Amino acid sequence: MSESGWEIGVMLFSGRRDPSWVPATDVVERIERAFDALPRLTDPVAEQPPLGYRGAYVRGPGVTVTACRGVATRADAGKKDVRADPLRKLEQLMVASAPAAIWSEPWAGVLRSEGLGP
Amino acid sequence: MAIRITIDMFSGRPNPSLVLGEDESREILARVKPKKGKRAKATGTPPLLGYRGIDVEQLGKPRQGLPGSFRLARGAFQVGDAAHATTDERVEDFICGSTGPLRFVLPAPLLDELRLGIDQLRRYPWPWKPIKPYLKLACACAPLYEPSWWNDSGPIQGGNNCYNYGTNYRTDTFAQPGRGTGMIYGAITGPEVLAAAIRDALVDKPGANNKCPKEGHLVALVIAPGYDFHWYRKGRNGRWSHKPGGTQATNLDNSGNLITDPRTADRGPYTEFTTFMVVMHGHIKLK
Repeated sequence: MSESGWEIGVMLFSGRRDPSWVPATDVVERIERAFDALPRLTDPVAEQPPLGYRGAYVRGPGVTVTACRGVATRADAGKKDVRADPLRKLEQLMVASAPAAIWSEPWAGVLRSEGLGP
Repeated sequence: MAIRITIDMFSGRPNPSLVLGEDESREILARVKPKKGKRAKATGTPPLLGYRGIDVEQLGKPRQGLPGSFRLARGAFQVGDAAHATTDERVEDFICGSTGPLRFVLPAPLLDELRLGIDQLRRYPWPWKPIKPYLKLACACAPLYEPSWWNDSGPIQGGNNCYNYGTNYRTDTFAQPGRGTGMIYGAITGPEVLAAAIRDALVDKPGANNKCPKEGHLVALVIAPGYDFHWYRKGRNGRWSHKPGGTQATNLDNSGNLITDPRTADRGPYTEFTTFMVVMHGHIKLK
């Protein structure tokens, strides 16, 4: 967790800690605006398989926003707000904020296969 | 003449015992004396909680053709392997009854319990037929599948990964193979992670073939080539479960099926099956 209290990461690993990084302040603001612009989702959400890529997240003091395969969720003080993100814009916004170095990691191919990243 | 009676009924506390006066002793011995021609079956002391019998000791010269000390239970007195019905087959009820010698010694609720125990022992005589367990545990030494303990959406779930869960060893540090012994794996390969786990005192059992060990429990190591490792554990019911990273523990694979064998389960990107290993409880060291 950064001094600002915000981090972004991808949920990918099991044995190792998931990759995460400290976002610039304007990235967090853009993510929050993008989330607010998404339509609410009331249909039940399909469970993700337990192993492998499980989405991206941004986490700050008391709040976590996750995005995975068309569904975005904001969890804040025990409340959940679920939105539809069919074009995966929010997820892309989170992943695109990663440091350039991650794209040479062996696991970067998993993100590319999800259609994420540069 | 006097007798000492001891009610065999407690587990933690000493059994209640008292010496009876001459009149009461005489009355009880008259009720206990052997009933003519009626032998009984010696049953020994049943390993029960609650009433088990009354020990009687004659203080002085034995009377009424009775031995110096004997046990009363189920309307018979027993000495060693021999038993004989008593003249009053309800003598235990008398001793513990509302007019018996215990009425001023034991509190009323305890006397009620005692009378219930006497009745139960009479109706369900020891030894009972052994009941065969209808369910044989597949892996008696293996941990229970208890996901709610791990899935707290807080420090337990977030701080413990597949290695913690697989070994059933909570560290809250996202344990890494080898870190507990000062030398973590050098690369994310099967042999490297295996060697690191061996340093943590897990035992390599490549030929385990999904069979539970006699001691400890079975785990399985799989690799997502180049970037991550993952562990499964075999539970007491013979089924496998796992905890992907900081997410919830589950007994389902990536296709939503119960896991009967990690070699054939849908493991997503963890395509390399490395080996089975055994976790000896209390031997391993994780950090």
